[in-house]
Amino acid sequence: MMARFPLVLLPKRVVYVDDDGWFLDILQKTMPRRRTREFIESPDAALQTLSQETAYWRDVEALLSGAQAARLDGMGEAPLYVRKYFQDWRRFHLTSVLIVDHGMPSMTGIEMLRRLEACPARRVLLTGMQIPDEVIQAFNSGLIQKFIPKGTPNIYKEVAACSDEMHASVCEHMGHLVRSTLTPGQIRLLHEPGVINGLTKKVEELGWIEYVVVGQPFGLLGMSHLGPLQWLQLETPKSLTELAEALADFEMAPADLQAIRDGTALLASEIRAQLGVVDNRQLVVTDSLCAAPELYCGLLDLPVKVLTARDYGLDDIRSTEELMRSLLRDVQMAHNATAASDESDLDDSLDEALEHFGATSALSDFHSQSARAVVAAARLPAVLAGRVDTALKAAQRDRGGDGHRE
Amino acid sequence: MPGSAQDTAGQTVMRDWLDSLAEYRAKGVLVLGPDPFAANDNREVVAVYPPDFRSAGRALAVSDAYGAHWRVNGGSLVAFKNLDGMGGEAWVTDCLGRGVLSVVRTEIPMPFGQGFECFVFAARQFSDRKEASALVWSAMSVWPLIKDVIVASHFGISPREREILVAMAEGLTAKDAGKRLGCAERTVTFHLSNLMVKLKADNRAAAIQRACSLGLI
Repeated sequence: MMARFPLVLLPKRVVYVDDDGWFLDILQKTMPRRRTREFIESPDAALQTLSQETAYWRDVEALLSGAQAARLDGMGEAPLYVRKYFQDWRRFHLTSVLIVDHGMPSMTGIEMLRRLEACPARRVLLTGMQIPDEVIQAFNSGLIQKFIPKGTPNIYKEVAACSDEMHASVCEHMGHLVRSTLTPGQIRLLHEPGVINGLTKKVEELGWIEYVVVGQPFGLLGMSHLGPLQWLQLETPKSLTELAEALADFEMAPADLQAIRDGTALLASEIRAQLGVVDNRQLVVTDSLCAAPELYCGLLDLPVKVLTARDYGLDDIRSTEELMRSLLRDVQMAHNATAASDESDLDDSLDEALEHFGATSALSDFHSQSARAVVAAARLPAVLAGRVDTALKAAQRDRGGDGHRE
Repeated sequence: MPGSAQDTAGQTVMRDWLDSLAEYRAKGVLVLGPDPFAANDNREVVAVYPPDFRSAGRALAVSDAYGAHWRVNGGSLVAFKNLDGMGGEAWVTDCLGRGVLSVVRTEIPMPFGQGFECFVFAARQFSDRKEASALVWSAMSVWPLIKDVIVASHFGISPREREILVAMAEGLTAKDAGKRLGCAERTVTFHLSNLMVKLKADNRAAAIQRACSLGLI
């Protein structure tokens, strides 16, 4: 459990550096999709990319550090975040987790990482089963935060888990830059386990890949990889009274003001005014985010221009064809494993892969056409081709007659 | 423009002003002010009464017949023009059509080299500046009251927002301004955000500067 809710969530970007293409290939398929990841096969190329990124880190840090000044200026930090952060492509180039193979022929992982000490990314080293002394030293000196022997069972799961954790710690670190925009009371709230829990769930539920906590008005600006930018306004019973008071200077129906005081609705007029968005005075229905301490939230989409991860081309799976090809590769791998062994649980994994392939192909006409195309291009062995065909047909049947013609 | 349709308070004040100038046979009054959101020396109509003088007002705002160059060249604060025989420009023809025979102009200087220009359209001619000055003297006696109302209503600034601008101009923080005005800091900040939108200012200092140069405070 986190001790406090991180004030910033950056788009996650994990870079894997390994000259062993086969290992990267598996990682590529196993690591969670919809997150930015890059697989680089040469340490030199990685050094070039990551040194460039270090400059971007500095830019984003400078920007977040300017939030307090924007507040004192009267502009407010939200317009700064919208104009300078959520429109900036550089935030998609901040590698927070760096996973490097130690045993690369041209340069060891440690050598490479030593040259990247200015990069704020957390560093994981993949080693052989024998851990060399220099790896232990690198760990003790803080150059690497973790090392994982490549032969570790469930290594992919472990890599995925530790990269989530490390990404969170990088975000938390960046969050300190905007801490000065929050009041001590707001900071205290974000330390409350109930609030942390409620907010974490909310962020997950909204599918946000990034957010920034804003102090005045209190809330979160965030978005999923598709956008739009959303505003999650946070209100305590006391701040709702103040909100109602601020709005009372305008012509508001008494019933609406009462709804705000009661915590059943709120108005996001402040963020709209700050962002220069026309205020439609539409009440936003509130949710209870946490019962103790009492915290309410209201969500609204902001019609402002932003650069989404998808618009920037960061969705890993760009086309249905790529998706189907990667799923078919799962099927082939499972098939090869089955052919090489007699164990029946491997057969289960083939069935599972086939079912997944079939079910995904049935999602839409695009998916089924892409599935047929990648199957035709793959030149599968006859046995497997038959099973794939059966899986596709079964899935189409399950999908039923909703407008699709064979 | 902000406030052009709903500024009934501004219209009332302007009508009273015009009525008070009946002895000079005034048919219309017009106030031009600097357009704070445009390039230097651009003027815009702040208030006009009756409304059918608006097109004449717009024409005067872009016309060189009176204007900034005149101020810079050290002219008198009062000027008048008899329209008869001026010909040419559409607004002149328009005014003559309404029985207006002359236009008297005066200027009220503001900080940062800006100024308000007041025009009175009169159904008589003036023979010398002394006569025109008498009209201006009479018109200006109520100017402070008129200015407060028309400027605030032109920019859509509420009395509460004006109080907050004054507090900010005095150097108070949002928190202290809240204490003085008996409201929460949040209320002050909210009004400030709205003010910055209305005054098209990016920061607090620019908002205050603008409010000063527009004669809002």
